[in-house]
Amino acid sequence: MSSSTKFLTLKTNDKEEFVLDEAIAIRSQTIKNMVEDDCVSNVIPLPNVDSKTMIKVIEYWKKHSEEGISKDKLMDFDKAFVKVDQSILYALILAANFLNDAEMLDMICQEVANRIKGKTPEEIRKEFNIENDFTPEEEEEIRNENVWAFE
Amino acid sequence: MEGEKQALNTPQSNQKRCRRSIHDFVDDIIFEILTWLPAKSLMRFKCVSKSLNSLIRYDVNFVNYHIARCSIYRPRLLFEVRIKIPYLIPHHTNIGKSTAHLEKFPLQLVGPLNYFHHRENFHICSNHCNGLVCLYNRKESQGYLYNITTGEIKALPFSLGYKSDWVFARLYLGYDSNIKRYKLLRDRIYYKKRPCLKIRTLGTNTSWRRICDENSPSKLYNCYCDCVFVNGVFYWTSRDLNTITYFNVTNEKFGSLSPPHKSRVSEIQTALCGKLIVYPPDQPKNCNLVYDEVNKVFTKFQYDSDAVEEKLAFLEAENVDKRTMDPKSILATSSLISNSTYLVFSYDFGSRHVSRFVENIIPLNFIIND
Repeated sequence: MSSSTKFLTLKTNDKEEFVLDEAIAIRSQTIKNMVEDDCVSNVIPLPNVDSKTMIKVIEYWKKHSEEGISKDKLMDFDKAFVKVDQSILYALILAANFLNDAEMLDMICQEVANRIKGKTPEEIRKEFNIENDFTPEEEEEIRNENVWAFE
Repeated sequence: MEGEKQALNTPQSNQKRCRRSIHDFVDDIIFEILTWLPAKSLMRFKCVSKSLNSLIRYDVNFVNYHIARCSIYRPRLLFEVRIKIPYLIPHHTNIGKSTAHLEKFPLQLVGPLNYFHHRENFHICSNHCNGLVCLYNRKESQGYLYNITTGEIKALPFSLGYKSDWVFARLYLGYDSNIKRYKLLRDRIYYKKRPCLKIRTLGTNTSWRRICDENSPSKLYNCYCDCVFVNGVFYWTSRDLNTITYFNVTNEKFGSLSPPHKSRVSEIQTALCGKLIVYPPDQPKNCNLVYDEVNKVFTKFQYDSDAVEEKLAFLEAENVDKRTMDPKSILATSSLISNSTYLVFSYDFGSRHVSRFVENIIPLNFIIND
């Protein structure tokens, strides 16, 4: 790396600081916009991200910024990367959403979709904390329209 | 019904409405996650809550995201197949070279609600396009659109103009990616003693238009065999196998191609590869030719260089039950396998149309209504 490498300091909501190459940090559209608008002081606060999640995000960014890394290697990395607890996945989704990293967001959403695709409506309500506001008759009617989807 | 209409016209406000019940912050995320789900899961999750129901059913934005994401990940094949009468001699039992690698192709019969409940009155009357197909009810003289994925069926809001009890209704369903509309082509009519075709754009306030192209519609008369629809173009092979008549759905122009050596269109290859593929007669199966739309020539079809051995896909239906023991055609789907050189059916089946499609939850309202 040349001497022109710039570093940014990112500060998570639990007051941890991460020093990161700007070229890597701007994988986040949010940070990129801040850099381009020149509103970056010394430290960029990330009020919606905790340090535990940020460590994972940075791990992902660094791997995906490696020069000359093969597609296969990246795929293996991604596969291993999403093999974590559901709660970590959700934290990553929120972080990716806040940081506006579409690539990472898509990957993790896909993983969650993959995990929930076989669930029942009741399990989905529990998973996402959604209240069932149908009357039993209404629910029955919709269920009957889509019997095949329950097979 | 009134409520539905409103929701369709104002997806934004509808979206807002459904956002109230789910925690705001999580809501965008749920939207994101759901767009990656297979159609079957979404159909099931409609009964999670009212907000999810209206999101999946009426939100144009959601449906479009879902289609875009599915098209990258889950193409499938759709077949119109016919169960053969058992005493016919199986002619596909010889499955080619011994070096061929046999790949099994489980076939799932399409059986969502409406279609099988009314099958005695309906028959399939069109090719398929993006997982949609037209059905015709001859008792009512009414055409219907049917979405394979969701099982939704909806009457076309206009008459096809066939006499009642007419059994030969034949429609061609195509998608114009320029205006993002489906178009319906109707078989030959006579106008001032000239053979013409009729075309209609679905979901617009327009009626049938006549297409009396100099010679093509009359040529089409000689192309009684089925057509393939690929990348916005219909192709019909003439009976003498000398020409292929085509019709471009976007510019609504006819034309003809002269493939070499009296070649036949390989429907299955065309469906597998998403390009028009023909094969010369009496040649090994690996002599397929692909039509290069840009340079307007047929060139030798290059298979994936990784696939050294010839792959042969063998169709096998897993859940054939007595509802299919009927001489009529039925619809069946299968996941797409890549790199197959060719594909054979088990001798119980005859196939008519084969197409590639992406499971889509697009509500038929979006297609049919303006």
